[in-house]
Amino acid sequence: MEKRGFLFLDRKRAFSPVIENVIFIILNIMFFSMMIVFVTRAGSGASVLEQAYAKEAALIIDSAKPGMSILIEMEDALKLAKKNDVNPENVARIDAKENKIMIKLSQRGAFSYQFFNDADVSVAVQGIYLKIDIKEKMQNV
Amino acid sequence: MFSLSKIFRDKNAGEKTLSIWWFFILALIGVTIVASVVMYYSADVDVKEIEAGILAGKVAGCIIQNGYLDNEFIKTGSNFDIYKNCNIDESVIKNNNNFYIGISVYDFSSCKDNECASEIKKLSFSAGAGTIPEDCKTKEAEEKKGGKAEHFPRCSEKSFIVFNRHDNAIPEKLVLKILAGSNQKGRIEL
Repeated sequence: MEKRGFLFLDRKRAFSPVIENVIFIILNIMFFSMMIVFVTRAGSGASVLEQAYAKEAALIIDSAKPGMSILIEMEDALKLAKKNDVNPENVARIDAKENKIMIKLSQRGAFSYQFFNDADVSVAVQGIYLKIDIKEKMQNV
Repeated sequence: MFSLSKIFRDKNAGEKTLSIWWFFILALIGVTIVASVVMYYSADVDVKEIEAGILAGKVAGCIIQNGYLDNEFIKTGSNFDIYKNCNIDESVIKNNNNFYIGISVYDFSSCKDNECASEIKKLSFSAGAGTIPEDCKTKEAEEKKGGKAEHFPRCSEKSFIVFNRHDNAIPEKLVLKILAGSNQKGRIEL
């Protein structure tokens, strides 16, 4: 049997490009697959949905008047929250001090967005909907 | 056995053609990396313009009553308490430099083709980040050249023809211009 030496360095015959090309193509396919999976997951991931729903809710709150109740359908977000072990009660929260709404769909944090409507706002998840109640702000006596 | 001399000596020339296929693969890898990075970082929902429009509409709904300028606004002018009268949270507008509200009132007779000359200074009002109007103009100029200026604020300007029935020192028919701007991006809370 021909001696090949360490890392085939002793080989004297002409090098065949076929195996090298096949390995290169396989590595390319693996690379592209990883990139596509990464981008697809980043695009449909929690961060984008958190941002979208937080901004949508904030704009609705800004446009609303006291006495209004609004329901926002967020089935896809709630499914994702459940998949990421986030309790539905913790998906949406209002910070009354800083006038902002926070949407949390993963354990990695939440996305917050401020609203300028000076009203008493409360949120609650009901089924597949996020219910937003707008009330007149109670003035401190 | 492994030997350093064998790495550098005892080599036979081989033949390998550098085909165009190699360069194509390299270019494809580069394009994929760039496209992936662009797609990832452009996954953003920009609602600044809508937000500015809502803010301008809210102010308009507050100071225009059935086509007439609100009496409180005419009396107080630049000292108008827009926060209390229009149910706008003061801390949100003043802090963080994310919002701007500007009100200008002009004599209708001085206006031609959306340009007005005679501004009634007594009724001029502004609140929030004062740099936003100029930044909005910069953004528009940049967009006309084909640029994007993503991190610049968005503004919404609304004009109305209104009447004054409270102050004889001010012309009866007026043009009210409300400029509202937003540069809010939101925040990730950990």
